[in-house]
Amino acid sequence: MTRQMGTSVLSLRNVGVRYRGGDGAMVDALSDVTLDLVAGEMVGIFGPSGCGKTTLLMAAGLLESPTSGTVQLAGIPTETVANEAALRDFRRKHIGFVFQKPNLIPVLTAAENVALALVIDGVPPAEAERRAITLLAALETAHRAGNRPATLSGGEQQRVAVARALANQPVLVLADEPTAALDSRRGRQVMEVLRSIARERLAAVAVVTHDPRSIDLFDRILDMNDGRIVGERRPNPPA
Amino acid sequence: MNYLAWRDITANLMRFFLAAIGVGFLLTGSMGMLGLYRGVLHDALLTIEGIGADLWIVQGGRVGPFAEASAVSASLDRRVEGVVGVTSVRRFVQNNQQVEIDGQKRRVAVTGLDFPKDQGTWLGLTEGRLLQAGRGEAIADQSLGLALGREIRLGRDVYRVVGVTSGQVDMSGDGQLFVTIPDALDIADSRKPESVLLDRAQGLGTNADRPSRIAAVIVTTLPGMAEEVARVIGAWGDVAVLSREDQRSVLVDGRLWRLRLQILFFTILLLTVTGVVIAMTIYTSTIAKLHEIAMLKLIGARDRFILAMIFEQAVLIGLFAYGLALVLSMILFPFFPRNVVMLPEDLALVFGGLLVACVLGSWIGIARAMRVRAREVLA
Repeated sequence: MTRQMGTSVLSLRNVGVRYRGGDGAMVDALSDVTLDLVAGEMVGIFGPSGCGKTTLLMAAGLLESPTSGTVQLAGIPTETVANEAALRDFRRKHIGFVFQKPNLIPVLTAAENVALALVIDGVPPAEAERRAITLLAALETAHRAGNRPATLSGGEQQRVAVARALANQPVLVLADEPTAALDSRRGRQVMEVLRSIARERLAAVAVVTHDPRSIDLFDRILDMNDGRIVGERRPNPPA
Repeated sequence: MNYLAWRDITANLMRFFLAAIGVGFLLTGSMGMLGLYRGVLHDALLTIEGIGADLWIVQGGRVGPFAEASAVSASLDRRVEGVVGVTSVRRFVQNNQQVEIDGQKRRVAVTGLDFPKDQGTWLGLTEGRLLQAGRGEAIADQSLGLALGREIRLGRDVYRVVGVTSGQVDMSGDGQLFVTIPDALDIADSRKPESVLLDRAQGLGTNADRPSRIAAVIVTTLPGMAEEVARVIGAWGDVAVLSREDQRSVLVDGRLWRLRLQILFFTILLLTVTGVVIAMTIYTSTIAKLHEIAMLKLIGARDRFILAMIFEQAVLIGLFAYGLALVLSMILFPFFPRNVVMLPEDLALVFGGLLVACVLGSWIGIARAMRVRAREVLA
């Protein structure tokens, strides 16, 4: 896929996710959601707990199959991806994930954690680690490349997680509450990093968050409630 | 090597080494069981293989002298000498006794050599010389603790150790003491004076009138004549003829089969426990990594990457344990009271069993890992 500002990256059409609840009744976690994300923009998804933000992220990240509607990523309809293995390959090539917890592998150093995503993609370990250090340098964390996660601060860990998410140069970055465990200064730094990813790497970045402190960094804000997108705001339209 | 497997091991070296050491000791047990069996077999067949007989002439209707008691006529050797095709004839007698050596009671297998035809050339002396006199000389196995020149009283007579050999034990693992046939018979027949007097009073006479204690006559034949000689002697009726192969079969498939079966079961049991230990180690380590496995799946790791990570750790534990077991075996087994013989094919068998245990053990962890879904990262 050619990366150009404004190119469609993710397209959800009338997507619904329905599952059986604990009491046996059917629950609509997501209803009739239509959403387009384009290269170079960072979108914030806001809403109360249980409104379907994470389910939306899972559907967009190909972790949850929609019970209705279609998902198209990088121009490819995801229902045409044959099986779980193919879906995993597809995800590896196109999507990067960042979570509230960095989810780093504790036995690996920061550089190795980033390199792991490349090694999984078939890059030789030495080359993968070289590229990982370059990525960490771009996120101003190269000096901690040889450290294991336990010795890194929360902000540093999250930067390493962001670097890992970027390792395979994804067109789509999905972040679920990436700043929830950080203080406001570090949270702001991480959000700035995500915004620069959108701008400089021409990726589409979707951030699920409760945190209003960095609202000015988003190009668009989607408000969700009861499994639906109920509103859209544009605090900072793309340049 | 899987990128993650090696780093996981190096980051958890203590867990790895503890698991490998546990498995290593279990493998040492398996190797020991097989080695013990081979040792028993080796000891049982030692005399049969070493003495160089083509045929064993034993008591009629018996499969002696190792599997059953056997006594043949004292003059049988002279009858056998007359058979066409026979090149040498020796008498054979062996009795187990308990004797006191250096204040310790030890079991000794007293074996008669038909001196001067047999001076013990087949024994492979480590020290001293062969028998040179018809009376009062002995060749002792090292395990008896009898040094060269040492004298030992057996029955009414004293015997001087003129030669020392090693590894010469009987089926029970008792060290052998080789003396001449007359000495062996004297040792076997030694009685208290009161017993002799009682026998005389009952008219039972002297030793010469008592039943023969010769267990068998061993024969070598001209090449290709063994079957014919066996047929001729077998037709006499009062004796049975066993070939060297017959003797092997009687011991291996007859007398020792229960032991073989038992050792086989114990070995299977130990390998099963080894598999369980590996499975438990790998499974618990997999359980501890479920979140990471979900993360790996999320970032696109294929199943074979995760499978390799788990399997390679299991195999590495197994390989390290196997190496440890080899070292432990070489250090420990020489101190075992019975002969432990490690054969390459048995070591290969243990290795094969270990690989199976590793595969089955890691399979449980792999099966669990395969059930993890990428979305569990968000849980």
